[in-house]
Amino acid sequence: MSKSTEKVVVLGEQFDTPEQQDAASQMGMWVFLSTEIMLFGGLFLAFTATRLAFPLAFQLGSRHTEFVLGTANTAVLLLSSLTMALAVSASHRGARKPLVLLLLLTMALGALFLGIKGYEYYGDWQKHLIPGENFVWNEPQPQHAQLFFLFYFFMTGLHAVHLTVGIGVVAFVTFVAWRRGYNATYNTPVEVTGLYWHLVDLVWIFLYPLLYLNGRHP
Amino acid sequence: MTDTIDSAQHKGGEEMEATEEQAKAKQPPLWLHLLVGVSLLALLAATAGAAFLPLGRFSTLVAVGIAVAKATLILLYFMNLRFGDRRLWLVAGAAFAWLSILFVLSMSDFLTRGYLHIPGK
Repeated sequence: MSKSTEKVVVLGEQFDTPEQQDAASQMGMWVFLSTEIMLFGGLFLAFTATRLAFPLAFQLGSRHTEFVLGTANTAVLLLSSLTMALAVSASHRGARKPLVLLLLLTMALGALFLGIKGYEYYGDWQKHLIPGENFVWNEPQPQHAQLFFLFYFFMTGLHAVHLTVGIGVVAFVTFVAWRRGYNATYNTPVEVTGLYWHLVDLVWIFLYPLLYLNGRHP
Repeated sequence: MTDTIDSAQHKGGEEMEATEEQAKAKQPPLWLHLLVGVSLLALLAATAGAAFLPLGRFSTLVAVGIAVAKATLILLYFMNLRFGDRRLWLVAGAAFAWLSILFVLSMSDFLTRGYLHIPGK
């Protein structure tokens, strides 16, 4: 493969310049992200309304979540956002090796998050915290505590699905980057993938205090 | 449906210095990215610590406030709203504007239900 064919720009025929294509793609991704904000926003609202109705059960529920694992996972996800931001920067410089390495690191941190979350779910399962017939609760308001755990599992679960999708997309982008598919002029897929990754991080930033930190002070 | 253009025309390429075109799509410098990363971890430590302080009803306010600070850092510097295309503020702003309508109108109900003592309720 000669040097000149290695550096290519994939430009849609509806665009005049790579810059125009980049601006349109970023705005398209932001439109999608705003639908995601609405999706998670609705869940956050339902959570808040239910918590206002049953404050004690939600405090007790939060105390049964794993503080250390949740905090460690938040740090992991924040670090993955940093490596993703650095990857986007590297793609703008056209620096291929740092780009591939940073993307791999981002994926590894995302996988570590899912691993820790899975371990946490396993512990929740053993403690009989899954809502339903086998739910065991030796504190007040077992019915309402189940509501807390319903929100806990659904919201963290939906977040984990988003993160899994994110890892898949980053894997694809990493492969293309490794095959010299991006350079300083054409790096739009890296950029919009970064936007998605950061939004998934953003959702967790609000899940963490609401699910893990409520009612920690005795 | 796509054209393949030799990017040499666009002055791009591996390990190249910044061109005028790239200057338009500005990226935060490395030190700023690292500073934001360290700030995010510091804010995480602050919110984790504050959760064990006897703040009473302000506990949630502090936790959500710190979360908003973290989110703002990520939106501005990692998602590059600070240096990127200004038009993106329109879409990002619209998302959060509608989200705030959802919360403000809903909370004006849920938070004020105890204010009036309606007989029989």
